[in-house]
Amino acid sequence: MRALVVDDSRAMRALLTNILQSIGAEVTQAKDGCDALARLRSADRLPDLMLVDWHMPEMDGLELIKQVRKDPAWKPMTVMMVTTESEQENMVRALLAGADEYLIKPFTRDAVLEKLNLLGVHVPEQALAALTGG
Amino acid sequence: MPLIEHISPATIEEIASQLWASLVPAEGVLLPSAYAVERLRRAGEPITAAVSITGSCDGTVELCCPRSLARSIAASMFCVAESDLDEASITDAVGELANIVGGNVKSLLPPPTALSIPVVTTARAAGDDGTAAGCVVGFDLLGEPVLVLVRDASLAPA
Amino acid sequence: MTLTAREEDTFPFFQDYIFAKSAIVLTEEKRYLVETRLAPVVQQANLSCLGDLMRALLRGDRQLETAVVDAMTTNETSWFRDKSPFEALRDHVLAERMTANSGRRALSIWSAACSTGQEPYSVAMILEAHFPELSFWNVEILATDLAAGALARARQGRFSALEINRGLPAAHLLQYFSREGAHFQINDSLKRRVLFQQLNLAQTWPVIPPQDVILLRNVLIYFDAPTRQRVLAGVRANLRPGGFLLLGAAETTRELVGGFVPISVAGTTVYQLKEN
Repeated sequence: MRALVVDDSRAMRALLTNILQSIGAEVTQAKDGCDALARLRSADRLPDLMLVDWHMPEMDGLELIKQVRKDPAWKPMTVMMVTTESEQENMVRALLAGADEYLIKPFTRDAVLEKLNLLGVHVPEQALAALTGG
Repeated sequence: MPLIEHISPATIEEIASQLWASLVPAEGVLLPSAYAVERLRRAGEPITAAVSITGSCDGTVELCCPRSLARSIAASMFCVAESDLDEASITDAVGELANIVGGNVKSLLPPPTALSIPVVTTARAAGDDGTAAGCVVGFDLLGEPVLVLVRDASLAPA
Repeated sequence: MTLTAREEDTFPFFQDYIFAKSAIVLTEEKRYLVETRLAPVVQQANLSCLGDLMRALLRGDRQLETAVVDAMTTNETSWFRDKSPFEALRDHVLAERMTANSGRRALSIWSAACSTGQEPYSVAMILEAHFPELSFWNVEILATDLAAGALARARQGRFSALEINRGLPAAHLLQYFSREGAHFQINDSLKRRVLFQQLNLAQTWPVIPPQDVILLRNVLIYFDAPTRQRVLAGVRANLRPGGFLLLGAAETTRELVGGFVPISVAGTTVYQLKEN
């Protein structure tokens, strides 16, 4: 699985990247919407999954998702908004813009894997079986 | 409208404990602590990250802890050894924590509101002795103090 | 942490105490669990160490007993946990039970270790979203748990963002919840569908009406073999012939008492009690 993590915080990108790598994903990062679009345009293969923060300089996540959904070639990509915005009106805006799912910050590793499982993104059985906490 | 009318120490406790539960392993339970201000004063170099909220309510959300704790939190976020962390990474990590707490506080306020990007300094949060106009909540994490301040810009400082 | 008793080893006491109260088996490697889970109980009760907590429990402090049992029961849960059992419920189990019960127009589902309510509420969401015809049926979702604290939260139906994040599709969040301050409140229409009741699976059960579906997920793993067998025998006695048992993903069925037929559906296995 290939994933693109878009967030202006390096720490948040690292955190998400580690979670995705732990389930075998190949991860690239972008620091804002413009950077993400540039990376998508120059990528030789489309990522399967894009995780997008909302508030970022240059281009925010909402605009990025709108841009991404304009291009039919990028349609197969699964997009999840990952943000501190937790008002329901904002979730509606993100879903209408074309996000497939929505994750509120802060989140646990388990929450990321469970959302990916919901989205039909392949999560290895081992990782899912380990979601027992305790 | 005063920001502080929408925020109580209990909500700050809840937001902060959720943040920690998401970031640190199960052993690191964040417990409310009445001694955090005093411990922070005695602890080594502090680090403070602040985000401001503007719109229907104006104020700031600040997170202050000893640098040593910031370093271990950053190490856990970046998933590297503490010795491999540079200053910018620690700053970025603490800034993101303030951003998450600030974003959660913002979502409790009536729209429209906007959140600034975090500003990180190596000072103690002003008014951490309880004179801040707003709400100060202290915590203990792995034996180290953490303060969360929600400052209400509409209130005159004491 | 300073709460770990250095002079006295309280672990053997807590091992026995927790087994007596909940049948939960704590092996030596769960020592850390006792320390980390009971530290907040010690703090909230203004005690200084686990030794003090032990002495308070020995004096018969009921409030602390509840707090300790609540803290030691694993309330790890999520919405539509593991996804596939709920797909099996939606695509196979419910349809089959509805056909079987079409004359009576009644359906009963029991979430037997419901924790803070995510499991029974997930079932209620499936019923509401996919089986509108059931609004003319008598549908009962019984949800039980050992932990009083978890049950109180389940009844309230108020969830934090951290809990909402765990496996709940965003569309469901928008449809079935409303925001209240820092929390998300589940709608009354779902709340009304679930009856919450305290029940200790390891002790004698109260009278439970015959069930069409029993969800007994991720609870047997905490019990020893005799307790597991007793609980499974109880499940069998309370399930209608042709009814279904759903277990946790990691739970094996070697001890499953006779009479169950494993059925593979939606990438998971459900167990159907044979018709007599």
